[in-house]
Amino acid sequence: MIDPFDPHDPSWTGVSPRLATARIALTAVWTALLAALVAAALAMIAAWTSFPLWSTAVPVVLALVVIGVTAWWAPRNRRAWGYREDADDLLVRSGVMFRRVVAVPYGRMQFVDLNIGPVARRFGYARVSLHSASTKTAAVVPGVPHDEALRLRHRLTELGESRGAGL
Amino acid sequence: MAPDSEARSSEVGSSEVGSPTIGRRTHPLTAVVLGVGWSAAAVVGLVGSLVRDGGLDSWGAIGLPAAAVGGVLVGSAIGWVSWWFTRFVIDDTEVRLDSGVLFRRSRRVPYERLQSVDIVEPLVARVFGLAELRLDSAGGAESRTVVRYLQLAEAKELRRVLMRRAHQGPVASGDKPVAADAPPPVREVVAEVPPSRVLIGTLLSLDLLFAVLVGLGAIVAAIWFAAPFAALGGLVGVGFWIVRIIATRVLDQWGYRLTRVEQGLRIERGLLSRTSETIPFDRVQGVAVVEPMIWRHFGWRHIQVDIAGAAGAGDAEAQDKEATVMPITDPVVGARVVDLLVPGAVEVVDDRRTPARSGRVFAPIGWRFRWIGADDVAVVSRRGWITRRTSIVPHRKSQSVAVEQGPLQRRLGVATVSVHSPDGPVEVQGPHLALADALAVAADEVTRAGAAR
Repeated sequence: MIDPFDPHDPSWTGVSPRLATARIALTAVWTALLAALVAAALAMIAAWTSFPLWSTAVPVVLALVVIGVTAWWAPRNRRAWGYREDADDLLVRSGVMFRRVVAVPYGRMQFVDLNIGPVARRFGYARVSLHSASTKTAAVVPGVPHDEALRLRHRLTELGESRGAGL
Repeated sequence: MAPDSEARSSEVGSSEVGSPTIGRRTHPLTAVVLGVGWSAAAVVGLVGSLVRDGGLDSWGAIGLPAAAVGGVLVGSAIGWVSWWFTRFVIDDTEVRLDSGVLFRRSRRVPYERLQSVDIVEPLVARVFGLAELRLDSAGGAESRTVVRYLQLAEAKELRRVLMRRAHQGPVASGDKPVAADAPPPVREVVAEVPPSRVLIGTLLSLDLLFAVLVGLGAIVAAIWFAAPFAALGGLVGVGFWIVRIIATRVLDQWGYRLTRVEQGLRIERGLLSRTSETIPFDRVQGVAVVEPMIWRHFGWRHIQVDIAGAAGAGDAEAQDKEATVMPITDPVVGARVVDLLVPGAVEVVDDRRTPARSGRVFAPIGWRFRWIGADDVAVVSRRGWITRRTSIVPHRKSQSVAVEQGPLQRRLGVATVSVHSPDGPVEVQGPHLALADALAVAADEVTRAGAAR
């Protein structure tokens, strides 16, 4: 049995590296903003009371830690995502710690969703999700490059129609 | 209503209804049934408030009958208006129900979207020999269309026509009347559950025993702490709980009869209100055989079914009730019912895979009872040492297959494989198998499912 989680298996299509970039950028912006607000508040308190001024460093350090962890996690998580178009099924794999691979037959697809948020649009990727009659299917691929996402959706819809097996 | 009902039955059978029709009304006694229903609600409400206020005084003695009579009169009047404005049409392609006095509402149900047609006789309607027709189409709680009330015989005739059309697709105009060329309906009684069996089964069920244990616990605590009055409140609650468990099950499942009809299995049940539902064979997504601990010693089990689009309506208890095909049965009849629902499926398959030795730590007791396996017809899994649950999903209905592995599982070299079916009581899963086993089960199921479609 071949290992479906093998990261070097060429039959799997990975997702855009921009997914990791976007996630890091997004986390950096929000945590920096939050840290700045908290630090400013602490500085004000320190100015009016005997509260120690060095406490403003705490949110800054915490923010740096959060950004650091995200910078470490996001590329690894990005590399774990992949999908493969087999003859009869679409395979989606994900996760580094919690690994999962799901096989959805084309004929079982009820509908295909394409989600593009404001950040995703800026970075040029989309989230493709497949729905079968079971909610447990949960076949979602984030970070598919825009053109590829459109192709994938078109192909899946086509295959779903030609192989539609009903319920 | 004699001449009118004559016209009605001819309308049902012929396809001339396809021409623009205004539709027809339900049975005129509908107004009275609705009135009595509202009156009963008013009386119950009043009694409730009287009990809260502390007993029946002179005002209550006058108020109660007044509410009862007034409820019937006012309710019937309102019911009559609503009945007058309600019409339904059954033509070549769809069922249409127009209702509403101020806000008109017109609902169309095309035959090919019709999932099931059920007949319910609520107590009051049953007294008048009336029944309501429930038309379910896939798509959540909003998708139920209720025609109330019709004469029972007429409701049955309508159901027959509707079911036939739903399974045949739209009937071309000018076709022969559907009812005329129909072969006599196939009816074979698969199983009947005597009320005594339901009662004994309920008395030996785990939730009832749990309730009794809680009650005993309260009594012991009361004696121990010498506080009888504090315990009394708890006991009353537990008592209501016990009565409710017994009453609802026995009332619901009284005279339970499972028959095989043309398109599926028909369930008829109920002591006060009778319900007659049909589970179409082609809607069955999976079957679960549930054997609670005590029942298991007698070989009893109950059988539940996954129906596409059935989940999401009502609370957990209602869903459980809707999913039940056999409330209590023995292995022989049980196997027959399973075979009818998923032809060729058996409860225990030969090719089974059990949890890996290293994965036993996740279920120190439960691992002994778990396996997943497949034969040519279905993929089957079993789990549970208190309540044993065997889930069966036919290959041709399985939706998707997943293998999952958490960090701990990865360290131990195990993984969980699941075969997905629409939301419901059926869940085929092989937890904590050796990774190679899990992948083999998944690959096998992908191949078999592909071949079965």
